[in-house]
Amino acid sequence: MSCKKIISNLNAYADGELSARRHRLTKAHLDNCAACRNRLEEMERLGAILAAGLPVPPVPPMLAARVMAAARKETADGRFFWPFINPLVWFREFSAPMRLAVSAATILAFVCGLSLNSGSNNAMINRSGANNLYGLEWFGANPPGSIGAAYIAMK
Amino acid sequence: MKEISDAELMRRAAAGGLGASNEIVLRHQSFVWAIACRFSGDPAEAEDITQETFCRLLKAAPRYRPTANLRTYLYRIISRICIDHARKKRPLPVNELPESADSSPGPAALMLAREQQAEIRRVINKLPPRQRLAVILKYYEDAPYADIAQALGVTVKAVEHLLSRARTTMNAELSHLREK
Repeated sequence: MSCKKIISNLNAYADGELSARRHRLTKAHLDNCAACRNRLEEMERLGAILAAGLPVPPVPPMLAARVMAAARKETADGRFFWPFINPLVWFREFSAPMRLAVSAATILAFVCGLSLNSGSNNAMINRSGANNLYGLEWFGANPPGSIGAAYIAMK
Repeated sequence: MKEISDAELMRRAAAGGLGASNEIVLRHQSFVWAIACRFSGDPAEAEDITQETFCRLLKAAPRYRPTANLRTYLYRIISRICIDHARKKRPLPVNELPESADSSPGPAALMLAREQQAEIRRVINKLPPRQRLAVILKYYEDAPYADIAQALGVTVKAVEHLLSRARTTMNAELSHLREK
């Protein structure tokens, strides 16, 4: 291979992009040609300079939050708001066992609710009983322990 | 626990999954940020580029087909945005450069390193946007030619030419650094 041909391949050689055959041929030439080897070394030195060259500041805190806010704002159809009001979207994000557990819990809650509801249908609670039950007598004109209540009790 | 793949996260993001979208951003933000910073040399602009990249990625989630690595897909998006920014942008003054993360050497060495970084930044900023991107993807992301070609929408041979031209320019401009 001529020097001209090698030089045209040198970038791909330095970047490890040559086929095995072309890599072997180029390497054989480089072993015997100081001029081409110098070119390659020059390229490698440039790589070393660049490696130390462009530092990156740390990712700003909250960048992800700002990105997500921008993404939501940009989505005109509001698809990014949809999960907040649609539990099905959250559900789809769960793994299979999690979905199963959520489904089982929902069914169980539904069955429990039904059975409790059917049990309470026959319960008769009179008004004063209901007042006592919920502690509403404390909001009456003569709450327990007041002078009014004591007076009524004396009568 | 097994990590969810990028393809699966993209599928969930396409279905409107906020958690999945957030996870994609968290997973890839540092690499997008690094490319954006190195390309623009300006943290404020890098933040804009990062935001635009993820907005475009999440918008395109329903059309995403996991035939290629998500990173390759991101290279393509970020490349387009970087090139758009470079077209609109004013030249960057060197004193706007980001601070170096490395603070271990002494003051003299640190100053020399800062000078060297400023010099490299100046030279990189002089490169046309496509050459600059090719250099950043090759030297800092270690991307193969095929990925760079996809990112820039050119052939593999064209990437080789872009890198060759960029290296010729940088060699000429940075020859004094090589002699130090």
